[in-house]
Amino acid sequence: MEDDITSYLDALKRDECYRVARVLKEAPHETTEVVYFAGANDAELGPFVRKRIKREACMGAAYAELLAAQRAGARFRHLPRIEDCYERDDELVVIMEFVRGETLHEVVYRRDPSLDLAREVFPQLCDAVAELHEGFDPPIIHRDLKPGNVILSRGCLTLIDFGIARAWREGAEADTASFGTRAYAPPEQFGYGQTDVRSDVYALGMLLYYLLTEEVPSPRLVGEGFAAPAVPVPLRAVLSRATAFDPAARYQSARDLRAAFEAACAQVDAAEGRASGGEAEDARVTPTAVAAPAVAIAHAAPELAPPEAPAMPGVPAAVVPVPGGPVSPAAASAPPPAAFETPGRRVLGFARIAIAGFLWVRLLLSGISIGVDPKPGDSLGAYAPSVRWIGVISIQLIFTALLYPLAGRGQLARILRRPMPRAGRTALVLTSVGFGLYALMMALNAALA
Amino acid sequence: MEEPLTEDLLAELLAAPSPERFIREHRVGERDLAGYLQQLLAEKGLKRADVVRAAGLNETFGYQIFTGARGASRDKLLALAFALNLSLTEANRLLKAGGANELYCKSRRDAIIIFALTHGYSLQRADEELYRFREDTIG
Repeated sequence: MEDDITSYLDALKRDECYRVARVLKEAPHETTEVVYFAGANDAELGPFVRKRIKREACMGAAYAELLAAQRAGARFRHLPRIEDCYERDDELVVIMEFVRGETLHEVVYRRDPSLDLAREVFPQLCDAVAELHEGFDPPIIHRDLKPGNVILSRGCLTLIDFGIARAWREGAEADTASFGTRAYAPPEQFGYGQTDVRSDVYALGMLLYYLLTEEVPSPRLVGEGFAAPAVPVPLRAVLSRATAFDPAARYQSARDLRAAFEAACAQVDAAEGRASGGEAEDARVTPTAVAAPAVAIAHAAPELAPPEAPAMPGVPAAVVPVPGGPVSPAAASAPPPAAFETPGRRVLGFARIAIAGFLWVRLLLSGISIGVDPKPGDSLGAYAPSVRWIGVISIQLIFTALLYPLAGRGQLARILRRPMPRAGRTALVLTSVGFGLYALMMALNAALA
Repeated sequence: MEEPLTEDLLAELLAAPSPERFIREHRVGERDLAGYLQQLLAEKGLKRADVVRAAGLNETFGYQIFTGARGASRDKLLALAFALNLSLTEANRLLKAGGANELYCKSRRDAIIIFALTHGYSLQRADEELYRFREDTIG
């Protein structure tokens, strides 16, 4: 008791030393900022993520548990390191490491959803959730697993945002507060019962579908057993069971789900006659050799403290993402990537932008010279300069529009097939306007000839 | 006294001839100390005599605070906050209603009081902690 107030007062002293670099998210009950800890001599330590949660929201208990476990020596591969957790006025303040990387949302958008992506990401995701469940007694249930809360970087996966996570309480009939993102939350999170480990399994099922299709399944699709063309047949049973309405019908743990997923993938491979033997075996040797040291480095890097023996001997010794199957066309020149971001693809994308940009600038320069200095004997007569400008502008617009697909962020077919991302829409508008103007110019040319 | 609903206030504000007059008439931002105390008693179902005793105040003095005949110093208000088992927001409102400064966590004494309030300490225990950290006690 005496220690409580002393540590509380010390925490308040530390609290004054933080400098806010930028605000990541501001909600009525919670603020998330990037902060630096200011020390002596104008030195700074950081960046850290600081979350300030209003006490009346009664959220954020999971952070304190995570901190206690980490201070006791537990090491987690997939959970952020909590630096500090204290109360201040009417807020709970959590300082944690700043996890760099892309969210799952961005990765799926950039790399396009596919079974290969799911093979890379999903086992790690299940391991991360299993770490959360098994590392604590009673297990911490995340309750807000969604693409925005999963960070991927250099072959590692981290779960963030435990704001609404809570420990499972025996005997509680329903959660006291219902939260979560509607699409990924299981039915019981809306008040039908208490959420437990299987609620996270439900969210994992939804995430698997997201990895395969970049969408959230409609209720009709769920009812039909996930019979979508993008979902391979063996995986449909896995998805159906993971997202069953009744928790008792789902997989009872994240590990079970992972095992079922891997079994289903093996079935897919066997069905398509690839990857289980022969040439694909050789193809796997190279990425594994490349991946192992990369993962080892990535594992050691985030921990500034001296390496300690992991507190969970049950964790498998080598969880190395082994990509299998055919390589996507864009990266055909490079060996299959071990990490989630491929330097080769990035370079290719930039090269495309550079070429398109160069063409654009060249055309602009020649267009200016045409518009300003029309050739004699022109059929357009007095209208010559302005009409020519229309042609010039229309060509510029078409080339600008080409920049978007050429930047490597998605093919035109994909842009047309589903709800367009902003870039695709802009590209389409520019192209249409460009062609329209060009047609107008041609018509004027013909009319005035 | 029931506080008027925000919508009613808003409707009146828009119709009022001038904002100053509106503020004066409805005393926006001002709370009457006695009124707020009565409101808290009603909400928490406590009796004035018990609260005054728990706060360690003189009976007559306590009665006069609750009827609005006298004001109270900041420390007396804090003692009442403990006796009424207020949350931090309610305690701050009480202090403001009584014309005192709200609890400010940058001040060491206030920080300890905030901790004690939010952890449900009794007034006695809070005083013990304040004494232990060499700050002025409340009661």
